[in-house]
Amino acid sequence: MVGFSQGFDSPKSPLSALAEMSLEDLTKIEVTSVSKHKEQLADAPAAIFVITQEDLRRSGVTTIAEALRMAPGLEVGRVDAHNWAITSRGFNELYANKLLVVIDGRSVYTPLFSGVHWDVQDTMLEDIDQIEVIRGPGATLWGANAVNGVINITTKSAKETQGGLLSGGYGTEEKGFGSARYGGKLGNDAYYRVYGKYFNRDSSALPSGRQANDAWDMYRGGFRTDWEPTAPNLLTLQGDVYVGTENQTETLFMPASPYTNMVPDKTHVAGANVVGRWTHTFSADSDFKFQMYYDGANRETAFFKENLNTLDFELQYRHALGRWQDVTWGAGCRYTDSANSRSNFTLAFIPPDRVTRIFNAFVQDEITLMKERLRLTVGSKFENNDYTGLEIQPSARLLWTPHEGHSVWTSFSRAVRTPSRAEVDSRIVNTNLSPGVPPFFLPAPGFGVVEGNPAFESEVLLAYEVGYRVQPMDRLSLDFAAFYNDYDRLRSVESRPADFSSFPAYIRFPNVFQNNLKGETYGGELAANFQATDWWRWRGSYSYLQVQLRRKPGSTDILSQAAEGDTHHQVALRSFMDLPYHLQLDCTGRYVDRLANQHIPSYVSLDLRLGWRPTRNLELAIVGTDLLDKRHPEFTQSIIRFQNTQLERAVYGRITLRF
Amino acid sequence: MNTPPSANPWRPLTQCSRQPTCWGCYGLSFLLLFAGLWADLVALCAETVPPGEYQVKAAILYKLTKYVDWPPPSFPFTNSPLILVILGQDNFGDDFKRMIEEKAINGRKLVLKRMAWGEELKPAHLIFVSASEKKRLPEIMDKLRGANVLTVGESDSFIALGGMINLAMKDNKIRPEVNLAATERAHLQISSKLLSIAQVVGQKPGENKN
Repeated sequence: MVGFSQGFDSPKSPLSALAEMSLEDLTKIEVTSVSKHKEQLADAPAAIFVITQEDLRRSGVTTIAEALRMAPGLEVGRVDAHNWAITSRGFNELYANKLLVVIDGRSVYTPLFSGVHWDVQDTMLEDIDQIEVIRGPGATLWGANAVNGVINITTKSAKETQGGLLSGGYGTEEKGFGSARYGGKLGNDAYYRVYGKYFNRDSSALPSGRQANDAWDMYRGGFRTDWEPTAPNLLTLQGDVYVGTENQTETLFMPASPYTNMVPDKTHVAGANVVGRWTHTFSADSDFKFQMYYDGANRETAFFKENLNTLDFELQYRHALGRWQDVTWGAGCRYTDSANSRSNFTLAFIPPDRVTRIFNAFVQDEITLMKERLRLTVGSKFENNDYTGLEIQPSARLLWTPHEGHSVWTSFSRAVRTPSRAEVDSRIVNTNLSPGVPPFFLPAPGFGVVEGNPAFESEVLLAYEVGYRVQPMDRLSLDFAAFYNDYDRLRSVESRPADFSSFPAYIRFPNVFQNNLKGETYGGELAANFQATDWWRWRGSYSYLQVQLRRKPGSTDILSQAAEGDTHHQVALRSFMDLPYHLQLDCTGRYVDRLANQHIPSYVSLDLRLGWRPTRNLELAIVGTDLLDKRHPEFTQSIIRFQNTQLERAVYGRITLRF
Repeated sequence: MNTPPSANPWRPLTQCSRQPTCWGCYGLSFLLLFAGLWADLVALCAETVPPGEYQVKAAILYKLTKYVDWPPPSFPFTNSPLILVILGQDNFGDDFKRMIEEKAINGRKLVLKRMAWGEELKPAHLIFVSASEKKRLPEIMDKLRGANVLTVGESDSFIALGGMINLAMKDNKIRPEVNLAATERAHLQISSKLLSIAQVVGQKPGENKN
């Protein structure tokens, strides 16, 4: 310390003082460590699981949605060929509404149904750096709707994806896919890449074994440039465009005979986004980030058409405050314009066009209570939205590292799920009752209608979590997390008196969205990583979940029983083997418990991949998925009615060439 | 809250000039005020903060270049610069660059480059492998085998995987560890001065695995 304080006393800057010290003195200086910011997994006071590029490649998945099956604590149910129900820690449904998904800083959560259109979330999978899956609330940093989890997908920088890549294949369900990427240099300090991809996927099967009407295809392209004009500045500009067609059979309702009709239809999806980001690094423990993005997404079917435009700005600033504190603060705003121009009897939004604005600010402080042993992170998000006004979402997290290889953490947080347009503006007809039949003997045809409620409130979660990570030996690491979630003001569907205003043409049975459910969920996840030998790695996980929902007094909710449609137990075991002759054999076995309320039995699935990489630049692979069954159901849909379909056994081959 | 139908998604932005109570204007002025206060607060506290980990690491890297001799073919010309590369995430900010500006080692200018995995690393004389590259270390070491490049790292497994100098952190101090077998394989001469300060850790030639 002596040498350094001498350096500081002199009029020179601390940097040149350091440069003039001897090596011996340098090794005696006590430093402030910043490694905590490049947070290693073992240091994070939250339940985090990372899906790496290697995991993506070796699992043989072809979509981001399917890749999420690797993460413990997530439920992934394929509804049909192009629809997935995905959630973290419960409340799964087609538009599961408590999971925030971010791709390279861009939120892909749709404010329409407060879910994610998984069919259009895609990129060049080979360029994904990692998929970070955070179970539990992330609202303090990520904002509203990061209630039960956050999925943060980041792609590699353009600098890391230089050169060309061609990949293509064909199989029983993958009816032809291909992608191409090229990365190059623009001058001395700038890099770029461009990509394009296409796929055509086969339909799934109906319970009878016949093919369903849900085949789909999509074209997608994009670019990314990373420019470092001067050392501490990094400017990133990236964007994607896509267009696709998805076959679909829908149930449409009409106020005259035949009242209900199953029609084959096509969903046309198209979209574009562009993200600009400026990062300035002041020093190792201080940086500044500014980001803005535009995202446009169109979706059109026979009964629904939405034009969604989003403009988002955010900035974030991080700095050490004294010796023991590290503060991050930021602010942002988002404008969304959702225009629904196809109102009809089955589905309508009133008003058809709605602009919403969100303003937010957050601050988070990481306080070292005991050097390298005990760290407290406290913070809160303050977010103002047009539906419910100001929402405050604080959290406190404590990390204790008794010694290297062991860490224990605990957290308490509050998060909210703000109303979606569907809950405020929609009118959805979802059942038709024929006249004169038991048990109601209606005098005219009846329609069950769910209506939006302008007074719908935010759902609120208080979450309590604990976790323990241990590395008992070099080759084995274990990660355990448990949670108790206390929910209030959950969405309920309340029946209203029958409406005879259109009698004798039909009778309406209106229901309205309200916040009359409450309940608890609890459970835990265990993840293990075991490097058995240099050439054989295992990953395993077990997830347990229990959901208990209750109506509040006076509620007539009809959804609470259906909402408890989550699997209690899930087990996954994966093995990655590097064999001689540049061969790789990878297996994934999964057990998923039954979904009692949807009458879906438990299932065991097996995926296999055999890869051969004769040279650094060429890779061949054969992948088989769901090999144990000819077909099996995974999930059915609730509010909007499509066909119930089943997932089929599939095999495909792929060739990848790098140059 | 309710807005009339319109196809123009940017309308709320353009309303700012007409609405004195616009949220965005409030937010912006609040932010500017906050940022100003913050900068003062930070400046106040900065005096008491000891040097950052990466400021010291930068100084050590700079010093290392004085204690290592590269074989003559590493420098094609008498004035060939000494090239330092940061591989992976750069935690130095601009401190490192400012530190070595205008500095020379044995008459050679120092040049600092940032590189990502996948770029051609061979022209470098010293490569600092950032902690961000931990997972790729075996691959990186494999690629650099046989090159006359001093590899410096900051990961626990760095030496075991064939790295030459690891900047280990002990009691919040940075303690270099040197792998002599690896430096010898690369035909780099390490001065006895460095060896007396650093901890020499053994690894017999040929033992490093990937």
